[in-house]
Amino acid sequence: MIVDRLIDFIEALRASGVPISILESIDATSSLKYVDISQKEMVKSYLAGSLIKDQSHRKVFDQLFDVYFSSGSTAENMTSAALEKEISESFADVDDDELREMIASATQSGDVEALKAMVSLAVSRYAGIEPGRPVGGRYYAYRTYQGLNMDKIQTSIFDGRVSQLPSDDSLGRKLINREVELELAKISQLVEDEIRRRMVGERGPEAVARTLRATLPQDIDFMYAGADELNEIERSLEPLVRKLATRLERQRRHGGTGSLDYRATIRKSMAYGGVPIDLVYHRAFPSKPELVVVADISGSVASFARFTLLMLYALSGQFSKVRSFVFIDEIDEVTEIFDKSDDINEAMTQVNSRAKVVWMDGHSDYGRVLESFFERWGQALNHNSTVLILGDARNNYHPSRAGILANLRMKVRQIHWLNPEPASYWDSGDSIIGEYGIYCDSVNECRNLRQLQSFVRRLA
Amino acid sequence: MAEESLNFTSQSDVEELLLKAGYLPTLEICSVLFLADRLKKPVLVEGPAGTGKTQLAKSIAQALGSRLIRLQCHEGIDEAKALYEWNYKKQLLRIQSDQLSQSWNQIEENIFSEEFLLERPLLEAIRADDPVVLLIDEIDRVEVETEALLLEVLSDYQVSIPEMGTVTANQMPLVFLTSNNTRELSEALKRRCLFLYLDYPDRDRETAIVLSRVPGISTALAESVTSFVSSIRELDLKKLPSVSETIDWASALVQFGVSEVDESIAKSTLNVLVKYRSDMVKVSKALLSS
Repeated sequence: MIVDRLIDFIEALRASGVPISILESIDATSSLKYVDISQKEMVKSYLAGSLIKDQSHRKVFDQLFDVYFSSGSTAENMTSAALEKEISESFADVDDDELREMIASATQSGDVEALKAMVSLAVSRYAGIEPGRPVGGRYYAYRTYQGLNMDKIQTSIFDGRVSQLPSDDSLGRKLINREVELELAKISQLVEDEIRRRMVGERGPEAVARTLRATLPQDIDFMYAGADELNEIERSLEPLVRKLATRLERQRRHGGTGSLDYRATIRKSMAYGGVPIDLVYHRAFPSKPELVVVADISGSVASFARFTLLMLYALSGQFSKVRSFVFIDEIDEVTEIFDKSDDINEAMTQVNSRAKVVWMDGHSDYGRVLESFFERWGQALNHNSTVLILGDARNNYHPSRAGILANLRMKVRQIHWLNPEPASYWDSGDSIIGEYGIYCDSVNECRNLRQLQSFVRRLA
Repeated sequence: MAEESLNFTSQSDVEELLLKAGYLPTLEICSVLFLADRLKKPVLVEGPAGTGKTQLAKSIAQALGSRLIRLQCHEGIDEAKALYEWNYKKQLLRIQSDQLSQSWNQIEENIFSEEFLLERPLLEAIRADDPVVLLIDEIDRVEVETEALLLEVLSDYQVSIPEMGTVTANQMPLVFLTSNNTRELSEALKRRCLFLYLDYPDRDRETAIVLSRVPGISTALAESVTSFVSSIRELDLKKLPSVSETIDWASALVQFGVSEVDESIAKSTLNVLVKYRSDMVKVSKALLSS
């Protein structure tokens, strides 16, 4: 019974992209021998230890674990449904303000059981879960937050704690503010858990796992990521870049030998009467390309440009030089901003406020930008430059002026285009990637960190 | 194969042992250690620097009264440094001294025997008769190719020496590998291990750690110390304060006779926690009105 569920769980993990070998699933199964199955947290830690070998997979594991193991048998669900009803009936005369107060005070006293009961009540009251309605849990969670008015809870907890402080203690206020935010995140978590538990009880784990769309950070789509997901991408960027840098550095140092050095080989063969016994090779010095990054930072593709620039600057040791330009319907050089600042994130904010990238209406105009770029900086480019163009090539029906790109191609070593849109959308609507693409050495779909990483690896 | 020998009787036994050694474990730590003992698998411990990865192995060795054998990895480590090496100087001497009296076959048999084998940490751990804990520290520093050296030891607890045959473990050592995650470890290695991620402790656990490690500290001070440190860790810094730095800071504050962290104290002692100038500026900007 539990083993069947475990197998389904492992299938769901694999479907989300977590690699799990047979050996690991055997380990997970045998680990269940040593644990009391009613102890959810314990089961979770056993399964995590034997199945998850990369911390960036952990969030997906947690989400799916809750789906597959949080609700018990059908009989248990029956009793919990009865319990829900009992709770909401016995607190029927509690009004919204009182409920908020009760949640705030349960948080204050750290009474988790009371808090869970209150959250369950809130979900019954506000989420309006309708059986059979095919919506994801986020919708219900959103309605619960709205009904509860989380801001009011936050203020109430904050005021309760701050009142004990002397009024001039600004550090204390900041620390408390942060703690309260953490507490609130815990309440939100409880709300989401409760909704998920009810949905699993109603539809079964497979259906919920499908609507959950648990995605590994490196597979999250740049263009469609929400604020939470963008943070998640950013968090996983740092270890990823570190690993990539180590790897590229090692490749460079232990890089293979170069071509045969005829002169030295013949010279050495003298010692053996002209028989070339020892072959001599040139030492390979893989040259570092000079990168010229030209990035569209208009709304739709801004986060893609941001992550690509973050990654390239973090790897700047692998290139002889990185010059960067940003544009919308006008282009501006921002190399200096990056060079002067030692904090990339801060530099990105400055780029957004200081670079002059709007000429007319603030809609991307690739043709105009290419012309301006070629006129102003074309002289500085040479056969050692590799140009990266980041953007979706959605030109708002302006003329493409692709001929300029052809001229540019003659001057430089390579031109690569990175497009954050799915390849199936290319050349539909106002996308003219095809017109530009014929003058590029490669046009790459770059929707997520995984694709970006593999491109950068090829580049360096 | 060695006979079944268990280090822990139950999961709560793991917890008690670690507590006795002064290490405050989480549920996850206890679970993975207990499981490692039952499934006879090594534990791969990963996490940021200064979260007690190495200390965990040391503490468990101390608690079990086992000998700790440590292999510190670095780039360029090879068989001769990790597994074993033939003591060729001694072999040469032997050949010279036996040259007249013995036939070549006898000499060959003699010089490839235990007497001439230099044990390196992995072989030492495998052959030990007393209980040992093997710690392979910073495994991410070796090259991918070298990782393969470890696979036989990690999965079968044995070492093959071509001239002598296979040496199998007398008893199963507890094996820990630590990694700072600077490189992707090979799938083969990860498959053979259980995985434990040690993050910075949450506030309650860190408070408990500070209370247990800093003599004479009040609960109020410990709480305000960890509250401040955990806010710093939320910032985007070059180097986040480690647990040992929290402890250093807390001890310093106790020495100064401080009862609670306030702005001026935090400002003047920030250099204990934060080691880069740009990081200090960030912390001051975010938390301290300067």
